[in-house]
Amino acid sequence: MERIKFSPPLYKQRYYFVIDLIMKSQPKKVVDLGCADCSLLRKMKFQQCVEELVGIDINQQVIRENMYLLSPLPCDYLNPRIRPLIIKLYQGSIIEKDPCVKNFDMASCIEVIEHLELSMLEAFSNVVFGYMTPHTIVISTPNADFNRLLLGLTGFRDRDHKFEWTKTEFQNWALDICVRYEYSVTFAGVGSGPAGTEDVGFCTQIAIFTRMPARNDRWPNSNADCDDIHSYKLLHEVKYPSYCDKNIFENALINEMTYWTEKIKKHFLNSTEQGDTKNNVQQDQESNEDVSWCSRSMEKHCVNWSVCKSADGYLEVQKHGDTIHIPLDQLFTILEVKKICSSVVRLKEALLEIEQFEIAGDNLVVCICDNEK
Amino acid sequence: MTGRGRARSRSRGRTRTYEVQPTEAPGVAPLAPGAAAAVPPAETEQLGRGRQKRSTGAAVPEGEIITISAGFQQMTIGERGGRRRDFHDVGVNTRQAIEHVQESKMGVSGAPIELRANYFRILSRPQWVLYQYHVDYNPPMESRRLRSALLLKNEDLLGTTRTFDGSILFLPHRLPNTVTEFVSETRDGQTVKITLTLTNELPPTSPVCLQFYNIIFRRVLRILNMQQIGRHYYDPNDPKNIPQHRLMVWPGFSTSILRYEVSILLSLDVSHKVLRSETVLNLMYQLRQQCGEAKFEDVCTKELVGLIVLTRYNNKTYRIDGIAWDQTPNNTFSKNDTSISFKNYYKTQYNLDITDNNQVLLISRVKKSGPGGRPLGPALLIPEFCYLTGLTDKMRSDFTIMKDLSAHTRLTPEQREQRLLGFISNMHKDSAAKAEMANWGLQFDNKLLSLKGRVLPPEKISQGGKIYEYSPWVADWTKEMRGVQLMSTQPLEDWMILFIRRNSDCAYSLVQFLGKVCSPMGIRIQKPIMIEVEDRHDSLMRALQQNVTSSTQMVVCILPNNRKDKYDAVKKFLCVDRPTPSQCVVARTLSKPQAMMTVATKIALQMNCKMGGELWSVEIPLKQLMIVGIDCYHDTTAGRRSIAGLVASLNQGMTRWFSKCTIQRPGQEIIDGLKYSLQVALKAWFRHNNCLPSRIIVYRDGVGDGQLQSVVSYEVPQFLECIKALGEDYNPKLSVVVVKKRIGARFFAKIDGKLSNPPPGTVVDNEVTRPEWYDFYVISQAVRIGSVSPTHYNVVYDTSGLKPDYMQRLTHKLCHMYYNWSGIIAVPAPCQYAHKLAFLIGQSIHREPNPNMDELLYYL
Repeated sequence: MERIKFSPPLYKQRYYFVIDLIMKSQPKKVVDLGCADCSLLRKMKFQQCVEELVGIDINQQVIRENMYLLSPLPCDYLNPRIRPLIIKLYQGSIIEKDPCVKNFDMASCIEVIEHLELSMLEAFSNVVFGYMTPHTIVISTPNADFNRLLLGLTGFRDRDHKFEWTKTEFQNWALDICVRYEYSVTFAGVGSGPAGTEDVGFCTQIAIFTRMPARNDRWPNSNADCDDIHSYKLLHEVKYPSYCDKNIFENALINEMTYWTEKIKKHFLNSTEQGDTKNNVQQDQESNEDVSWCSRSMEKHCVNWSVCKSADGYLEVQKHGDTIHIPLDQLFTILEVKKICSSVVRLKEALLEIEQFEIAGDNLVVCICDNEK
Repeated sequence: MTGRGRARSRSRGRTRTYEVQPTEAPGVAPLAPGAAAAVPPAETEQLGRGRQKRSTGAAVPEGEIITISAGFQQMTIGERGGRRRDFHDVGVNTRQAIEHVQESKMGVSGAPIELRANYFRILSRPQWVLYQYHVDYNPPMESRRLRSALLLKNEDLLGTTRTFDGSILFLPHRLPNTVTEFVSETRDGQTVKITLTLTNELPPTSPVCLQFYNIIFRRVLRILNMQQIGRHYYDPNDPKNIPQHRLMVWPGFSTSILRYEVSILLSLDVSHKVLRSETVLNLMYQLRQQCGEAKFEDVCTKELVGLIVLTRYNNKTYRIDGIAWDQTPNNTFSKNDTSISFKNYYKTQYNLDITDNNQVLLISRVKKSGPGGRPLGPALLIPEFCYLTGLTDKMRSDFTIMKDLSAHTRLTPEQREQRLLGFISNMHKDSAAKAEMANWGLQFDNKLLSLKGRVLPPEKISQGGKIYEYSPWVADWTKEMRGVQLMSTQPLEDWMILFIRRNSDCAYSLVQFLGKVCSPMGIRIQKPIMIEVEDRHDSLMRALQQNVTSSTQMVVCILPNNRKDKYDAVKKFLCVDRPTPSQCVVARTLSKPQAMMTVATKIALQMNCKMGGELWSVEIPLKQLMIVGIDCYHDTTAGRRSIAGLVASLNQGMTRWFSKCTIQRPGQEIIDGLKYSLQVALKAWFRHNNCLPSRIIVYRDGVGDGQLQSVVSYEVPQFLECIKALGEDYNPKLSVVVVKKRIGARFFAKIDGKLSNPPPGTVVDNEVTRPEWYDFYVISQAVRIGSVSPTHYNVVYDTSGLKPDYMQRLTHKLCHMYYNWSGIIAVPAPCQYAHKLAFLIGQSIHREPNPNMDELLYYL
């Protein structure tokens, strides 16, 4: 028999499994129990749906050494997230309660439970399923049945493992949890053995628990009594830049608006001066007809360009004395603006709040006098 | 050429990651309106980014090689294991070989002045030492991660403050025993014996310890949420937006902790990073729309290659080296023996969706080698995920953009001080940062370093039998030289002006004004041949071919716009094929009648220099002295060739210069060309003086950070060899001075209770100099806006026996001798000449010019 090699490596497969789950269920609040060097968290933070990400580990040193890897990248500032993201790292024991991770949408507990003494497992279940009560919990642990396929392995896979469960043992434990805490469970795993060993199951077995819908009614304010007991120690907190931050939102909007109104204004003045916008439009259309690698996306991107071609009748940029009026719904066709503001209504609200913009009806008023003055 | 253009080109040659640091090169001070413009039109070309280096150590290099350090000197400890280059030339000790500066390298002349510098003292405990332990594993452990994990299991013994690079452990405290042994266990149960042996107690001045300080300081910057881009750190939370150009400026700092003359100092300078909230893909769309499909590939390559991009998914910066026109996100690459498309890769790895599947990919050559030392192939990047940093050349030549930028980046001395002190106080306020430093016993002073400098007296300028002085604060004698005859002039008798019909008015008015301004200067001027050409490339060239003869003294071309190709063609023809001094002027410069006097004066002066005339001189007391200036230009477009310009004086007054330019061929060292140039220069000196110079002083510019060692150990011996080749008994005194303009040092003076720029002529030769060098700073130039940046001079070889005071004064004198600027410039004139020469060759001519031009300043 050959030594089994997993590709991609098993730990990565486990991460992908969790990430897949996140992509499917789109949780907002996610906690990683036993986050260790934060490598799973580092993958999770790329999921745009996640708004709060928490990592808990008993070993504070390992968190401290890796926590800066979770800081925003320069590009996160250049291209802020649409939804907020806050990452918090705590030192704490997952058999102790702390209100900071209550009622999350998802909790992951990857290759952690086997490091707990069997005697602590009860406390773990009680904290996670009875107190934290996340909507979804994904728990992975080695499958002891698989160990016979791993050549040269005697005893457990890791010295620190306190136990390794067979498929049946794991499933029995899981089903018991479901009964006691009103969860449902499905089983999966990653890392399959060679052909013919299917009955053994996966190298890593995974249980996905989901809270029963009716549970909330029957467990009102579960354990609210311990909500003021904080047993976790906050080690690190980092807030990602996002458009939900008023400053960032306004700055971005001012930037985009200034840029595009400048452009539209210039174009408007040029086209009215030249008087032969027809020509321009035609030329542009011609160049758009070129079949090239970016032309298709160009059109998408350049909706706003045709927007500027006022004389075309396409768009009503209107001149009122020293000002031009640009319809907001036209500005809203610009991709960047769309990304920042969810709707035209929101755009208008936001612009009304910013002093430097003048709004008349559904138009943005731009002064066309020389800025030089 | 206008000052603006000159300044820009200078600073660009030296940029690593482009930071807008106020470059107070001579010309930045605004020129008289519409000054003469032989501007290499539109600086649309790729400019010297040749030495741009990719940042290292920005993120964890996967599967990196363990470098187990052998000696102290070579040892590099990277916070995250990456190997760092020695940007500060720490290991180069040149002073020890120069006898006459063993005791002191300070000058004496000039008036003392109290200065502040952007340095902070380190206040550490007396007797502070760093304990260095060697860590041994038995059985040996390969993986660095494992080594680390095994060691750190013993936290109770080591404590939480430590630094470990895989084999060497640093602790701020001493372990009870010199040799400590303990046993650790791997996850699969293997027992490993770990032995810690105390190998060194490092005093704060040891190079390793300094490196270590820098690492700790970088950690502190990280704690303060500063983002590392390239080599410096920037604050993302306070961006300055310039929406009209879609630019963003992040304020930040460049920092280094080094050993200076008397103590260890933190050097802290303000740095700015220009970022664009635009992806490369957006830029490509725009380019395509502007230039159309046919020219797209060309324009795109020109615009993008050389730019530094940030990627969305990691903390690395990449330099764009090319564009893979045949690759799109649908193409696959192999990873772990399986092939995956770029599109899927980014989706699974980072949950990033590619919206345009037809975009072409960018190529970046990764210098770092992969696991096992195998060189990594070029990295392919997705334009949609790449954000632009810095400016394109087109933007740099856009006056409004640069103006809007400088409003944010150009800081007065007071603003600068405020930023620096603000940073230090933030650092002292932040509890985590404070704790990190306290653990290592590191503490910084909270005020700028005070030191003493001297201000050299202003020089006397002699011109056409008259001697005048300039106002010391202005350092400019444009006014004083008005109406004074030039030192020597060349008559304009056989010359011509080429222009297109549209610009004939300009041409005639230029002739008229030249006639007016020339006679007071002492230039005899005849009517030129007026040649009207058509606005076509070939028409202009044909006119040149037909009209320029060997007796033509000067060709003036009035160019309709600043398109570079026309300028290049003219210059190439007149430098290589038919060597004739030439002057290009963009028509727009001549369009303002009220500025015509100034413009014509500038042009007349420039033409006179180009034909071999002399403008002014200062007194140079040393006899038989040849000054040599060297600078390099790195051509990124044409196969990355480097061009070395060498300019050498021909006479006592430093008013005549011999210029030679060599183009480095692939695989050739730049010095080979320089050696040849120096030899011809010495022969030219011989022709003019009937003897060889008894002293040679070489001012070597264009040495990048970390390249000092190669100048010292390679170039200097070659210079000596080259001199020796002229005769066994020829034994002149040689000094080699490395000139550096882009340095982090800033000096301020308290004047009328306000922190201001020190006056021109300020010399600093203590405190912030380096003990192992014979070096000094001179602020020769005056600036009107922003903070002045001093020039650093490092005498790396010197058998002249010349006192430091003489060396400093001579250096400052030479900054007066640049004929394209009637004022003091930041570097010695021969360096600026050499720069101009190399720039012209590298930008426009791409070939060695005709030797007939060697004794003319044709490249001004």
